[in-house]
Amino acid sequence: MPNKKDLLLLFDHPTEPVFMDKGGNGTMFEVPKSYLTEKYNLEECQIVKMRLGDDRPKVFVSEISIPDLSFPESLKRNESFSLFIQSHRQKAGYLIDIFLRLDSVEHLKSVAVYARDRMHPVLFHYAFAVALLHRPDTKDLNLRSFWQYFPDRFMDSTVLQMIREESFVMQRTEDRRPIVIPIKYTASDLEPEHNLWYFREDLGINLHHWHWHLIYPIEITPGAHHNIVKKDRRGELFYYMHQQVIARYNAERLSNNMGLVKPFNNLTEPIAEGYFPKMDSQVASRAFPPRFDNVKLTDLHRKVDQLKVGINDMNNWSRSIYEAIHHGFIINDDNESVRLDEVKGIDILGNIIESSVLSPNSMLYGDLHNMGHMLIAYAHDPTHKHLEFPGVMGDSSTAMRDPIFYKWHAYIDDLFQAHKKTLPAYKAEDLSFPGIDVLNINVKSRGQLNRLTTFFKESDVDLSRGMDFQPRGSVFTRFTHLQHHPFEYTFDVNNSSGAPLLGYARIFMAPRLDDNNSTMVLADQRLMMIELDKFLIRMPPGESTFTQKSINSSVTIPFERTFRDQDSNRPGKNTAAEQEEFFCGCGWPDHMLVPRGKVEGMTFDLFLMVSNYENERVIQPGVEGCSKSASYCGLRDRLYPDRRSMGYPFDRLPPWNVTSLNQFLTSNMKTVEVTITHDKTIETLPPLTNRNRKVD
Amino acid sequence: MVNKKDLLLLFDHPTEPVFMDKGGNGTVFEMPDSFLTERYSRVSKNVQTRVSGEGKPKIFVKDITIPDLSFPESLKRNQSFSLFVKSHRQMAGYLIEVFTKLPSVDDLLSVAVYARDRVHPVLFHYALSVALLHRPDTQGLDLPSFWQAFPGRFVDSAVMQELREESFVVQSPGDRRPMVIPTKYTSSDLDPEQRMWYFREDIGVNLHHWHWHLVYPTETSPGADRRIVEKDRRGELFYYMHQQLIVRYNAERLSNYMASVQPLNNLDETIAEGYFPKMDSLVASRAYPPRSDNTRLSDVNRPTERLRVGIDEMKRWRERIYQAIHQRFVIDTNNKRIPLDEVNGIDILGNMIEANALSPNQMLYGNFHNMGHVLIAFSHDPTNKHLEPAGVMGYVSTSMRDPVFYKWHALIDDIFQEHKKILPAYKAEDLSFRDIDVSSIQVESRGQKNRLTTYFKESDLDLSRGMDFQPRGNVYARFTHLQHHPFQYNIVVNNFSGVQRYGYVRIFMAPKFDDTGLPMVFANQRLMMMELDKFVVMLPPGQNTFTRNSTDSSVTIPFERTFRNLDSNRGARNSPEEQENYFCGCGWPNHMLVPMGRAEGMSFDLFVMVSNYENDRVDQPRMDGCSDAASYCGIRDRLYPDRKAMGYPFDRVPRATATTLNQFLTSNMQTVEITITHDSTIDRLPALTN
Repeated sequence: MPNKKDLLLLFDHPTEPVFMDKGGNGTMFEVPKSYLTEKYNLEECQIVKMRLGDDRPKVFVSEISIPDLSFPESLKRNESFSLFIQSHRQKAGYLIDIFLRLDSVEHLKSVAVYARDRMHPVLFHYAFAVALLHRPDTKDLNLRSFWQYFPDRFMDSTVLQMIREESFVMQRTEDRRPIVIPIKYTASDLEPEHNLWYFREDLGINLHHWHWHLIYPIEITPGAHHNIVKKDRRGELFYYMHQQVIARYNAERLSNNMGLVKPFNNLTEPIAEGYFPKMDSQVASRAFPPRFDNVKLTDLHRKVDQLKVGINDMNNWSRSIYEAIHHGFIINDDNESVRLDEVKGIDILGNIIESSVLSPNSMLYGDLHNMGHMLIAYAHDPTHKHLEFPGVMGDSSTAMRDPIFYKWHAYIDDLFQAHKKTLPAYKAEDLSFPGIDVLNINVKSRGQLNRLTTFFKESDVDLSRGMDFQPRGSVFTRFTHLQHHPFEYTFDVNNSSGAPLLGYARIFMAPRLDDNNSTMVLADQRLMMIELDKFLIRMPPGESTFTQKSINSSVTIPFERTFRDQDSNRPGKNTAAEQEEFFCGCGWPDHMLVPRGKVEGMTFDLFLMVSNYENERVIQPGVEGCSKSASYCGLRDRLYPDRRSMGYPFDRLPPWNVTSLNQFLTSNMKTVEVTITHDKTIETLPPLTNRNRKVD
Repeated sequence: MVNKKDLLLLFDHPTEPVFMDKGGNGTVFEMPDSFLTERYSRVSKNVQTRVSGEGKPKIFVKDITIPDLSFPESLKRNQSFSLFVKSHRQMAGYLIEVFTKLPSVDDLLSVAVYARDRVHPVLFHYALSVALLHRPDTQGLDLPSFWQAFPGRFVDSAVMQELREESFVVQSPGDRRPMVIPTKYTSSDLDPEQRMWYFREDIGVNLHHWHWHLVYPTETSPGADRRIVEKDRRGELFYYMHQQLIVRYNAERLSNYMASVQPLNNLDETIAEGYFPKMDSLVASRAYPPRSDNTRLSDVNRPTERLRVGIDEMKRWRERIYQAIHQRFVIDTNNKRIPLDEVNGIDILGNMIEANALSPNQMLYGNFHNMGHVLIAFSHDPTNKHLEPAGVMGYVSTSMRDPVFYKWHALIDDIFQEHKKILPAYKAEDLSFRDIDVSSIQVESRGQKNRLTTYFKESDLDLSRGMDFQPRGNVYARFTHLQHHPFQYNIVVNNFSGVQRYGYVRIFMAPKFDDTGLPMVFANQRLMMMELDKFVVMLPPGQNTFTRNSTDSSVTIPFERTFRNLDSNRGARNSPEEQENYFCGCGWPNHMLVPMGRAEGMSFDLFVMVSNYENDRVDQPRMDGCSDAASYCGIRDRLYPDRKAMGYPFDRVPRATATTLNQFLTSNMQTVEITITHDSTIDRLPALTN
């Protein structure tokens, strides 16, 4: 019986040949001769093996007949692979299906070893990761974070060159010192958008986006299992996760005295914001192309990617979608009307707009969101005339770096909000919880009441698994990220019903003042509501006090989950917790839970609602371990753990006569004013070598 | 005493720390601790033991007081260094001055070792090269070619990654295979400009341009020795070398059914031609930024580089230059008039337009040519808002890759031609050589008469000296370049004078038909005349037959000089040849001597003139070895070996009676029609290991 953990080694050093040593301890795969590519023959493998020493751990690979892989192989290894391109998704879907159908881990290993050097490295990583996540016999494997294998997509290319120097000159691992990723390297202060570098270029945020799209693929091969794509409320989750990204982005903009992001709703207008990523793709050894200031989009026609889309198509699709929203129904493939009702409407729209294979009529409603990404990603070379790769907008692991991502998604969100506006406002009885009064809520952090502090902090991550063709051994980079002091919510609830009740505590937060420094009306403030947490409470009759720690938020995953090497930091084997770990790979990074705030303090309204869990609970086998970041990511193989619409109670317009948050409150809700202060001192780390590094 | 050849090791692996092993045989420098940078002060000895060890050559570096280098150090090592940026030229000028003033080679070695890890790697390479070229005690050193130290500036970045893979996986150099640099990788057939890939992206063409600017620096430090800049007819050579580039480029365009290049004379217009270089600077590990199609220039204001230039300023400079040309004088800084006459006019204009330190009045005539490069190179980020380095137009080793280079230089050339138009036409008696008749000229190649054949060919380059932080040992890149079968000229000359004469044989060639397919008018054809060769012949009375090989051209340097490893293929020690070798590094690549032509054959007029060498000769000590590529590059430390204007006899508008090339001919001239045929099969190399 093979050790299925060996499969994970195939992710290491993704552009090196499969027979090279892996895992940091020199483990080598015994690759059958017939599996080698033309590039290297058996003799060369033997030489490598001799060089590295024959006493290294070996992984035996059985020689089986390999299914036809010519379709996914047709994407060249040094091209770019983008999930926004249908022909690429189809290739990935084909490979996923092959991996899923193999009848044993042993066979999976054989086919994966064979495929690894023949497929595009990112396509392979993606397809293999999706397959491991969805195969019953491998779903408990603990996949490492994407940045470990493709660090080039997350940092300044200069840093990678410095790492090359460090690992070449300092061959003794313990002499190596961390390489510092500069802050503010993609633009100067002349560029106002650059204030938001810490959000757009945050490692955790970009990883969250990559993971989200990894667990919610949008394409499958014809005839394959639908369940990879067809997940509970996936269309609605597409809407909600991205809506929250915009809400959080806007809170950061306000923290930087900037206006809210403007939706990109006129595709013929030049894009004022240029973006120069300054990153190199290691796969192709080509830079991610920049977009200059004031670039205008042009119709795409790139035969090599089978991509053809015009601004005209985009306008037609958006017109059809608006028409469906305003008529209240869509037309499906069979020419039937399907109502966009309060329950399913948003989910259908999500699938239509994204769009996924669940779209009921992709002829009519097109592929709006994906093609917007591609039109922007190829603005510099729409016809493939210059043989260029897509810009950062063409990949889910890099798109959030670009200011245009937020303008595009602000536009996408406007479509969803158009639908939400057609729904009736929640009535008081939809909101209240008879017998439950929330008496008060406050937030404590380091002894301070209702005051949160943010600051910048340095952290080190080990990039060695993704540094290909380099001497082995740990080599760290040091990046700077936003952080806040942990805090906790305390609130008192009075249960006057006389019986114990279950409540769902929902915590949101929004800035109080808009970009003009006037108090926001609720119709605007509701769009700025950031979900902070959602959890179940058991309320005995009478008054009770509840506390909840910020680090347990249902929105976030802990810092360590993303950035620490999991070999040294994992829960016990085969625990339920472990089983859920990977789904947890998706989640908003905990260090970005609260917005930066301002040096002089910035006022937020923190909102708590306790709703009736009996009306909201979803009956399914519960797993405690990792319902952690369910708010934005859902739960693996299960239903979304809340029957309410995502974003409830702020997903709809308030009643016409409710203009402020206070007027909106029923007795099971409470707000408190919270001030977020940004402390400008950066928490730096000492320039230690690995020898002096504390094992953490 | 240090062996001065050890200095050359400092060019190896330019971004690695100086204490690493060099020269491919584990040689290390043993230097005082105080020379090490802070980062490596404690570990360098251990590392040296690992990479070099017992028995490997050591070079002792003397501990001396280091002059103040803080000015050149102020350019950060991972920024970009551009000779078109004045503040960068000043830093280079400062360092050159420090290097040249040091009293001995030992001191030079010490300061160079100290400076190497502290100043920008390209700045260091440039300044040390210029210093070695100009110091009397380092003459005769065979400097490695620029591509060897910085292959990233000449090669697709994807190939660099493949080379990394090859040298990491296949550690025994003997087993390594060459990595193929793809052709046509910067754009597709949708881009008509792509057809010129083999010219614009040729390694030899770009190296020529780098070397030319290395031999002819534009700046010195205030108070420093001006001889580095003030070279015989350097302004004129700037004009002529670039004029010939445009001529050659246009001949290639015609070969590809493309019209002549349009000058970029409206700076307010968008530039239709985008360019995506697909190269990484290994120094900064940053990509060379592209320029999208239809980019518009904007005023550049980048405080970091102390660069500030506006479109309006450029227009003002151009107006003033035109005014000077039409008034036939320039005004110098003392408000005195300097005439733009037949002899010195073009040289003054060259200095003024380039513009270099010899410009008579930078205030008035500005910095036109350099700032054009700057405006274009920074069109993607004119204010440093996006912290972007310059595009390929910002560096002399890469600018010729970009189609806009030729549009820009076509504009520059138009200005020079405006001056040339004002000069009186050469009269028949200026051109003729009494009693000398050229009775025939013929070109022969592989038994074919007046037919040349071009084709594409693969060649291998060893990039190991420039592959930093990689396992050692040769690693080859295979590139494809134009080539032609060698040919020879057979010239028959009659000397009726009865006495021995000396003649200067001048050979040019131009396409016969223009881009509309019509025969070229001579006034246009003269602007398409590319120089192929120039050499002295002795003419005893009677009929003389001369043959001359194309490989001996005064325009070109041999393929081997540029692309072979110098250690294994050099002239005998201290021979005059060796001494001149480096100046020879400058020169048009021999493999690009003749244009591509067409598959069905393309007609050219080949022209030969024998002029009276007595009138043309320049009296100076002669050096034979390497006057090799003097036509475009001059000769080191000596005068340009021809008293005539460069490009003579085609540099002026022809006399009114000569509307065709034939009418232009005097009896000491002759033409022949030749056909250049392009054979589209590629001469490939086998996929062998080392």
